[in-house]
Amino acid sequence: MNANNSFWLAEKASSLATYVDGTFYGYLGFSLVLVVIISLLTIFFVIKGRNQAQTISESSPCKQAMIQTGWTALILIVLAGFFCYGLRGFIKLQVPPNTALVLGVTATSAAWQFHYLDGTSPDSLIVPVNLPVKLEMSSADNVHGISIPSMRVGKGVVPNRKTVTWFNPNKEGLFAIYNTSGAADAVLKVLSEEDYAHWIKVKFDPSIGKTPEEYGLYVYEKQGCNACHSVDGSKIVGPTLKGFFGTERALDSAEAVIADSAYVVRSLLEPNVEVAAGFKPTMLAYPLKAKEMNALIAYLKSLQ
Amino acid sequence: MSENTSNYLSESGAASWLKSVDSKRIALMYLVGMGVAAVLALIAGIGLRLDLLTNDAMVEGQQTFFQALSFHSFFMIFLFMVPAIPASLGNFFLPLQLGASNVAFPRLNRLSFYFWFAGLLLAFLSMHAGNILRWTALAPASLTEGFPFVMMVFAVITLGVSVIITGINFTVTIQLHRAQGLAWSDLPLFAWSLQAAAIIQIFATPLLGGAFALLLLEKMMGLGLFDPALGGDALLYQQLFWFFARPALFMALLPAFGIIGDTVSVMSRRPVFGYTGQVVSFFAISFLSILSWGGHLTSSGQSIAASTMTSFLFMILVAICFNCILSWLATLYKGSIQLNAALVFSLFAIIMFPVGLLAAAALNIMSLNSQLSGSLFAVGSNHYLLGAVLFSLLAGLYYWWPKMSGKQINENLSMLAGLTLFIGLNITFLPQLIAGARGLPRGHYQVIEGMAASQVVSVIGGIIAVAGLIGVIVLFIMSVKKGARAEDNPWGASSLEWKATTPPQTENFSEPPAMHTAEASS
Repeated sequence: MNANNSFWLAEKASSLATYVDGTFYGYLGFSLVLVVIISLLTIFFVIKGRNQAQTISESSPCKQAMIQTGWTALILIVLAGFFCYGLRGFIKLQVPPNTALVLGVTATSAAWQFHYLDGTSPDSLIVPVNLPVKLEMSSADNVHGISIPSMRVGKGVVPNRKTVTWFNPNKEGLFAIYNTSGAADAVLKVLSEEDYAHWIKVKFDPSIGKTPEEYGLYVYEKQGCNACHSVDGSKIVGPTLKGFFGTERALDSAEAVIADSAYVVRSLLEPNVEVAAGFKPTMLAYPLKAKEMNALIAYLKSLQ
Repeated sequence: MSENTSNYLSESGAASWLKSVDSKRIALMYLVGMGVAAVLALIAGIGLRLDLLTNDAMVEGQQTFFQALSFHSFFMIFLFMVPAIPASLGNFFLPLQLGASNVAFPRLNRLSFYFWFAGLLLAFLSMHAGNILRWTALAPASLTEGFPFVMMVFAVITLGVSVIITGINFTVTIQLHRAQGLAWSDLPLFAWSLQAAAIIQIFATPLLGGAFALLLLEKMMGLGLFDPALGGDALLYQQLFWFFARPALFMALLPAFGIIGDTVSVMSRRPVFGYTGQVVSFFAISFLSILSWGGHLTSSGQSIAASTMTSFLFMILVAICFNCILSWLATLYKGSIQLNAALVFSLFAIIMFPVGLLAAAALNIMSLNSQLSGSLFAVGSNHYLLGAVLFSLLAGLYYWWPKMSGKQINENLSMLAGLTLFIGLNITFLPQLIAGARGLPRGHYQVIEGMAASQVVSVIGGIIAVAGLIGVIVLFIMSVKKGARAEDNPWGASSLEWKATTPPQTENFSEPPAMHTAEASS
């Protein structure tokens, strides 16, 4: 992936690294010092005492026990210090901020799936830079684990349970997502805000790959028009939309109007001004985008 | 002693070995059997590293890679590391150190070896049928496996029973079969460490058998304990499994601590430093290891409170382990050192133990756990600890070899072979720690870009280590073939096993041994 700028840890690309890296390097330093001291003393004592007949007076068992208690306590205090730092960091890593972008994650042995509001992205998790991301994860088959070293994040992904982790990417780029169960890996792409907005728009734009009529059907179903308006001639709450477009409509106010594009738009924006005869003015306004309006009109035209 | 005296090796023929209830013969059978299992597992381990390196036909395809990984982990852990020191050196020398003629239940001891052997065969069947589950056999993945999984369950339960039998046998032997006049404070550290390990063997191992039996019932009858499809909880299995697997590491570690403690004392001609403190440490390690299993599950989704408590208990455990290590240093301090293979192998263990322990403690610093637990770092930590156990086993073997075989061994070449093994293992395991800290996940079939260098180094280290190990094995065989006759007590040790004839006779002692330490202190 990216060039590593550190020997010991993965490239740092998350603000959470503050809670991890300091503890890690401090502990690494302590460990190196302890291991080197023990190794050197061992070798030194052996070389110095080799084939020498030394007689030294043994200290009393009581004194030896006190020395042992002393160095055990000393090491425990240092370890407990690192443990407390670790606990503090761990709790930070557990609690995502309220502002976080919430994404769903499903793990399977074959692939990762990342769920956005509008759809699913397989194998690549794409997020904007400098926005905390909260992952709500579950597995669809076995026990898996997610590990994103650059984000300093790792967590089990278990079936029938929701586990949560979060990170705050502060660097754009491509980063590895590993499955610690040994199954398929994925990629984390951190984009600039504009690129992310563009990606979301293009990736999940439902009009792409659809004719205007198909997209219109999508809008009709997605907006819930089908709850009140049938397309097969039957009457539900509102009038049916079958054979509706282009015909003359009788209104509640005893006037009549041609159901053209302008009427459709007016009905969506101010539904209770021109109410069809025999129906109650109960419809809510649907301020759709122009593209959606046009698609809906194309769909209505096709319902002859 | 005259050459003509009959000893435990006198009787020959395969039947005399297989039917023997002499713990010394059982120990040798274990030693050879476990040696073969370990060498096979080592070959599998290097095979899969080579595969990562070359991606050629050496180990072909993902299926074969995971089979090799299963083979390596299962054989190394269940067939070698868990029984390693108690079953071999423990069986041989515990009764001798106590002045007893045999373990308390000799025939049960033989049964334990047969169970181990049956476990070996079952494990072979499982692996041959294409087992791709690692030794953890995590549910629910394991439930979808067929024949290999069922064989693995039987292998684990059989091996578990073998371990429990040994634990019970040692406990009863230590409690009831000490020679007249042998005070508790006369026991060598090795005997104490076996008692502390036996506590884990007796209390933690049944959980393993239980967990695997439940897995099998789940598969056959659909109990719905672990399988999420039936409303079970996959984490429950992990809790049960690690309740065994965390102390299992210390089951292997404790007898190693005992060996090093005794060896450095004898080879520096000084009494053990802080004898009582070390013995207390052994039991503390034993209990704390059973209580600290949850540190393995910090990032799995268990509660923060459970993770915090168990991780902190593990920190105490590590500090107590360092008490033993520093006590060995204090024993060496101003000693009159006899430089020989047993001491050199001990020194390598003394250097490797701190690395493995500190790495294991890093996994219990909770903010680091999420980073490290799924990575090769955890693998490196365990390999350092188990590498140190291997050095301890070999140190004990060199220490007691004159008594076991009645032969001397080439000390200088042994030290050279040991140095080769030490360099090789470090070159293999250190890159695991580094690559793991940089994020390389464990058990990965794909070669990960930018991480290939660490794989190359690991393979080279593995090959150097194998060369060292072959050297060690060849030297032992040469010693058997043409080694000069050893003295009864070449190192000037005071524990009772050195008072037996060389090699010991079948009943260990013809008359109750005189208490040397008691005389010295009076």
